[in-house]
Parts: sequence; C-alpha cells; structure tokens
Amino acid sequence: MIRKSRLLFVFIIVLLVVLLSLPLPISRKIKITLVEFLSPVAEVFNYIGGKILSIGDLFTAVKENNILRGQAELLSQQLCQYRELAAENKRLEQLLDLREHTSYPTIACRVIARDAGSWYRTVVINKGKEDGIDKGMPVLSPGGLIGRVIESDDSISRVLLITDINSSIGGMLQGTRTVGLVDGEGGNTCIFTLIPRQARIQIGGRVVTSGLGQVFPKGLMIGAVVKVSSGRQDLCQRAELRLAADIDRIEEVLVVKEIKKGS
Amino acid sequence: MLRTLLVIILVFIIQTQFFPLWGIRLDLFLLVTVYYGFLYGVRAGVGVGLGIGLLQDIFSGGLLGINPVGLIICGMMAGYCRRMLLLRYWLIRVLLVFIFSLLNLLISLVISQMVYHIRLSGIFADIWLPVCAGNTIIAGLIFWIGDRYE
Repeated sequence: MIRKSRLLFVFIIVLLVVLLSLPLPISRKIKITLVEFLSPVAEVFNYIGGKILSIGDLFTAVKENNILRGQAELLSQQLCQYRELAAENKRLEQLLDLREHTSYPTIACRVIARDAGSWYRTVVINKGKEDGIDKGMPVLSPGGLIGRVIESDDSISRVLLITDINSSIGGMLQGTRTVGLVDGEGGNTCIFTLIPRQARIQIGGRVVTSGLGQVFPKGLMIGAVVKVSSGRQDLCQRAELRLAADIDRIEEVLVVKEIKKGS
Repeated sequence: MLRTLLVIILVFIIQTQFFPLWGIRLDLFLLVTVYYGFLYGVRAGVGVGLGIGLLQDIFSGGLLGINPVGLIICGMMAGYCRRMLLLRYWLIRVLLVFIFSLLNLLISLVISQMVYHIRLSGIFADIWLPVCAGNTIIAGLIFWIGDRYE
C-alpha cells in the first residue's frame, strides 16, 4: 500500500517535470488540443454560469425598470408640453401669415375665457382699450371671420361670435355676388338668409362679408354652403353654412383696428 | 469520487464565471485542495491538487504544469497537517490557508518568472494581497460550513 502510494507520487512528480520541461510551442500545442477536446464541457460551464448570472440581472432589471418608468413619465410630460408648444407655434405662424396678408392694421390677442352660459356665444380676449381695441371692431382668425367686439375694458374685451343668435352680418356669395344676411343660430353654424328666390346657390359656394354697413371689411371669409332650403310660398332662400373658422377651438385672434373707407 | 468530481466542476464554474467580483479575488481551487488535504489526508490533497491544477492550466494562458505544482505541494502539506492536533481549531486552519495562499502564489511566481520573465511591480498589491485576504475570509466560512456538514 505504501509502495503503491510512493510509486504514484513519483509518477506525479515525473509527469510534472516532463510537462514543465516541454518546449513552449509543444506545451501550447498540447494545451490547444486539450482545450478543443474539452470545449463542449467549457461551453456547458459557460452556459450554467450565464444562467446563474442572469438571475442576478433580474434584480438589476427591476431597479432599472423603476428608474426608466420614472424617466418615461417625465419624458411623456415633456413631450406633451413640446406638442403643446408646437401647436401654439403653428397657430401663431398662421396668425402671423394672416396678419401679413391683411391690408388692415390688426392687433393680435389671445382668447382667455369663453361664455359659460347657454344663450350667448361670446369669448373674452386679453386686450382692451389700452391696446387700442374698441367696440365694433371685427375679429378674425386664420380660418376666417370670428365676430366683433361688443364690449371693451382697459385690458380685456368681449367678442360676439358670428354664431350668436344676436349676430347678423352682411354676406355675399363670392361666385354670383348675391348678397344676403348671415345670422347666428346659437349653435356652431350660421344661416345665410334673405337670398332672392331666383338666385342660383351651389353647394360648396363660398360666402364672404359684403362690406355693406361699414362694420366688416369686404371679402372676409365666413364659410361655405352645405345645404339650401326654401318653401314653396317663400320669397327667399336659406342656406346653411359650414364656417371657415373653427369657432370652438380658437385660441389666438386678430382684431382689425381700422377699416379703410371704400373697402 | 463522484462527489469530488462534482465539487471540482462546481468550483471551476464559480471561479471562472463569477470572479473577480467587485474587486474581490479568490483562489477557490486552492481552498478546495487544502480542504481535501485537511479532511482526507495527503493522497486526497495531492490528487485534487493535480486534477484541479491541470484543469486550471488547460483553460488558462500559462504553461502546462505550473498550477499543479503549487497546488500539489499545498495539498500535500495540508494532508500532513491533518495529523496535527491543533488542526481541530478553526483559527489554525484559517491561518494555514493564509500561509498556503502565499506559498502557492510564490511557487507560481517563481516558475512563471523562470519561463516568462513576468513583470513583478504591482503583483503584491494587485494579486497577492487580495487573493490571500479573500481566501482567508472565505476559508473561515467554508470550514465552518464544512465542519457542520461533516
């Protein structure tokens, strides 16, 4: 038994001496061969180690997930703000474009309040007498006519929208030059009334301000005809209009300060 | 025999996949060799040292035969220490692990220096000290668990 142990011990020493004595290239060659032979085993070890490490990754992932969730919420809020800014920018660009193409002097204003009641259709804008705004001045948006100023204080003014039941504007069919009256219905539309029975009205025909009465400048876009109606006994026709301006969504408007005479 | 083989495989996976970890360096191969030497004697220490050493050599960049030398010597000495009565004290075993760590690294360094002429600066702070400290701390834990299991 002891002899066997000693023989084994001697064998191990000889083996080590032989291995250490091998020239470097041969030693490396043997190593490469053994690595290649044992590479499936190494792959299994790597696979097991990787799976164990991935458990630890789960905890990191939970923490990272919470952090990213917070960042995502913050970014979502910022995105909302940026979209809001982009939309405002677009509206102001349109307003600026309108201002540049309008031959009348105008004042840019912002809508700060809407009528809370059911009967009237008015909005409040953020400028008044101090800025040169006065009663009766027309109010425009990039889409078209909005209404007119009915009250003016130092720093705010109230605008009567064209859809109000008290609103009545001289209108004209752009194509046939047929004049009539554009009355507010109290909702979101207007009615083009007092149109002569014999006048030809086409669906889609544009209705603009006639300029009669010197309240509104001539040629301001009001809307387009969507429906025509008249009774057998009626002397006049009526046309329902789809408004050019989005009355319910206006946020920035232009107030016309002065209408040139003869326009 | 099968249990020993499984232990070697497990140690190999842990050593190669998880360390160094957060700057902690360990030589689990040495710890297992010394543990077997303490527990089962010279033959076990030498056998495990040879097997682990050759496995370590195959998958490392050094010369074939460097690691088995140090591990066999440490395994053998650990086997001889088994006869010491003082070995029943946990602290003595931990102290011996520290000494064997130093010895193993010294043997590897001497043989490597003869073959490769490796750069010595920084070896003590970057390798020796962390490995010896890590081994000593873990040895205390392993021996405690091992004693309970045995």
